[in-house]
Amino acid sequence: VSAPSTVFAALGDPTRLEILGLVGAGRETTATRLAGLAGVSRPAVVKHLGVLERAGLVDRRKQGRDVHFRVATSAVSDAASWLDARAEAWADRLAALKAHAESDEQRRRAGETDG
Amino acid sequence: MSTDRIEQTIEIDAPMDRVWSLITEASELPAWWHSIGSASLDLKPGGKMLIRWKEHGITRGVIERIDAPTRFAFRWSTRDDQDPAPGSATLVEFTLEASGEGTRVQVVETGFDELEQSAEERAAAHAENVRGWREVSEWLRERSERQVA
Repeated sequence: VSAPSTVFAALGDPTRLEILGLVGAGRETTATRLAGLAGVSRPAVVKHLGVLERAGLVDRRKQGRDVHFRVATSAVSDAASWLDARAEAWADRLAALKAHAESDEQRRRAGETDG
Repeated sequence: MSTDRIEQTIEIDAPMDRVWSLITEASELPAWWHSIGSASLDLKPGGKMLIRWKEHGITRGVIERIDAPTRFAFRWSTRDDQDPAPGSATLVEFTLEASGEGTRVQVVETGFDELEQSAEERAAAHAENVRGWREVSEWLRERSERQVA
């Protein structure tokens, strides 16, 4: 899986984003079909697919003379989880704060009952 | 969707004053924030904060706001052992609120879009300008999942 920076750079171009979306729309597709759908020349599509492939966002599979592309799901979810991970860290800290505060509070209440 | 802000809330079955102490007293922090080795806090606006992590490294911060027992905010650096500065710090705001006999704690961390210190964050901010990157990623993931199914 590529570094998040490579993934974001790959996603940072509107045409490339559009192509990635088109790749994701079908099970698998070819550069020729994508060129027709995106209204971009085939060489341009091939170039964009190269960037997406290096970022680990799409996979290629050769079938006879054709090359088929599909979305590689793991890199996409890594990019989405960049901020989620930070939010998750706070969720963990708050859960730990809760556990600590509540066990303290239970001890205190037990103490009051004893006293 | 914003890349600048994260937010978490939790309900704690303990009084507000107690939760306030756990969050704002340096000696209490390591008891629940387990990655902290030790901490020091000068509890006044502009006061310094220093966290010594158990594993390695030091995080420095500055108290922005302290209104017991409801609001506590600090700006902390994303760089090891450096004071918070524009481009390398985020703002953390705790808000406490009574909830029945317990306490609702909200944490909001903001300022991620201002960060300059890593390629990831710059790139993330860049992608955000094109289109909300999380939105795009979600959309792609949905499509991908449909594709797998």
